[in-house]
This record gives sequence, structure tokens and C-alpha cells, in this order.
Amino acid sequence: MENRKIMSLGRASLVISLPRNWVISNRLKRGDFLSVDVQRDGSLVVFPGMRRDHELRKAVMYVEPDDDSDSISRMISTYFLNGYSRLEIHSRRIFSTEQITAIRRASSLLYMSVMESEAEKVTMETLIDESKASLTNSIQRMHMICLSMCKDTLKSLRERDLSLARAVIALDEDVDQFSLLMLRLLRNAALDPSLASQLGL
Amino acid sequence: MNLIEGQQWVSERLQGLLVSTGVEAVEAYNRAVYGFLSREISDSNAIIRVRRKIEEEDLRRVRAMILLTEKKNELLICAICSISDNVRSIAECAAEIAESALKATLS
Repeated sequence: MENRKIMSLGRASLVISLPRNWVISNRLKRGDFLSVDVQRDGSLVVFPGMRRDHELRKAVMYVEPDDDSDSISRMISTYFLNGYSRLEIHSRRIFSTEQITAIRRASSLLYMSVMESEAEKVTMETLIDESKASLTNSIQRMHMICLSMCKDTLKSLRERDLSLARAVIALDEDVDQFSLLMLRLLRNAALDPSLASQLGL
Repeated sequence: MNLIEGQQWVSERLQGLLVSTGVEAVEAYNRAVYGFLSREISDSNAIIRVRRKIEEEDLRRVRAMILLTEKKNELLICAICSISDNVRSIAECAAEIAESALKATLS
């Protein structure tokens, strides 16, 4: 931690100097722009260059004709967890029925919406505003689903209720959905101090 | 084929022990999450002790009872072992969440 003294510039402006090593490592020079963001704890984060709010991260993914549904789901989840909000999926030929089903299933699991769908290209976009997400609420909702699953499992065991046991299995995907969203938020927050601050981390 | 459709079931006593152990684990998990979210750690050590009790006493009794009463039915033994492993996992999760609550609050 370095300490800086506030200096005055003109009548109303107050300035601080930037650490020399930081300026060199970010290849900054006089006249370049910086972005600043005030955090919840009162600290100030300085970013090199102009920073646009809620910049949509885009990625392009290619699907081979012999890629199965599991590998497609894994690839889509990886892009989602790495913070991409718009994903263009291209097929080297045309998508098979199994591949399209896998893409649609992954989109619903990851809170993504299919924006365009063609025989050889699908575009998906996430509908979540991460800055408004709440980790505490997500944990609470996940917990409520898990708790009800556990209680229903024990009830189905006690009463030998097969349909209740099947209903519990169906809820598993809802928990996965929350879990993947939370992982994405935490990973993005680790890379973005502004988002971490907005999430209260 | 599942156990319910297959009309294969364990004794009332074993079922009762398995379900009561499950209820204890689920209650511990619920208290652990509540403690974590509310930063209320007065119950955390008790939750960690519940895990030990479930692992070292209740599930041992379940395993012993399976071997004594269901020794001719491999499918049933595997199913009950799987359920008791999952009950142990719930108790483990509860204890880990309680530990996280302690660490987060005390730090």
C-alpha cells in the first residue's frame, strides 16, 4: 500500500499522482484516459483506459458434426462461467437434432435466451444484470430448494412414495441453475473489483 | 427397477433409524445455513458435533443392522448403503457450512 498526498490544482480541483510502476506497466502516458469507480466501502478503483459500463462479453464457439450433447453442454457452461454474455454457436455443417436439443437445454439451465436460431448458427444471450444480482438471495433460494428436496426425500422413504421421489429428482436442475449462476458471479467478481463491490464482497 | 416398484423393503426398525438419522442431518444442515446467513454462530459447534454423532453412532448402527437383517438381499444392502452415504454427505455439508460460518464471523 502506498500513501499519496492530495494536492490542489487551480481553485477547485484536487489531484493525486499515480504510482510510477503502475503507469509504466499499463503503458500510460500524458493525455491518456483513466476510469475511476467508487466502491461501497468508500475506496476508489482506477482502471487504465476508458471503461464502458456493463460491456457485453461475446464469444464464438464451433461445434463439430460428431460433438455429442454432453460436450456441447460443457463448452457452453465453460463460456458462461468465464463471464461471456453473448455466445454465437456455429456448426461446421448443420446442427443435428441432438445438438440443437443440447443447446436449448443448456440455454435454459444457464438463464440464457436464444436470440437467433438457424440450421448452422445459434446465438444465445444472458438476460441477467449481474450488478443487480444478490449472492445472499441466491444462497437462500438454493437452500430452500435443497431443504425441500431433503424433506421430500425422507418423506418418500418413510411413505414409500415413488412419485414424490421422482418429483425430487426433477428439482435437481433448479439447484444446478443457481449454483452455476453463483459460480459465474463469484468468478467475475474475482476479476472485477466493481462487480465485487456491487455484490457486497 | 427401483426398490419401491420391486416390492423390496427393509424392516420397519431399520427404516425408522435411517429416516430419523436423515431428519437429524437435514435439521443440522438447515441450522447451519441459517447460522451462516445470519452470522449467528452460537449453534455452530453443536452442528459440528451432530456430524460426528451421525457418522460414528447412527450410521454405524444402520450398517450393522443391514448386515444382520438383510444379509441375503444384495440389491437392498447396496440401496441402503447408498442412502446412508448420502445422509452422511448432508451431515458433512452441515458441518462444513457451520465451520465456514465460524471462520467468516470470527475473522
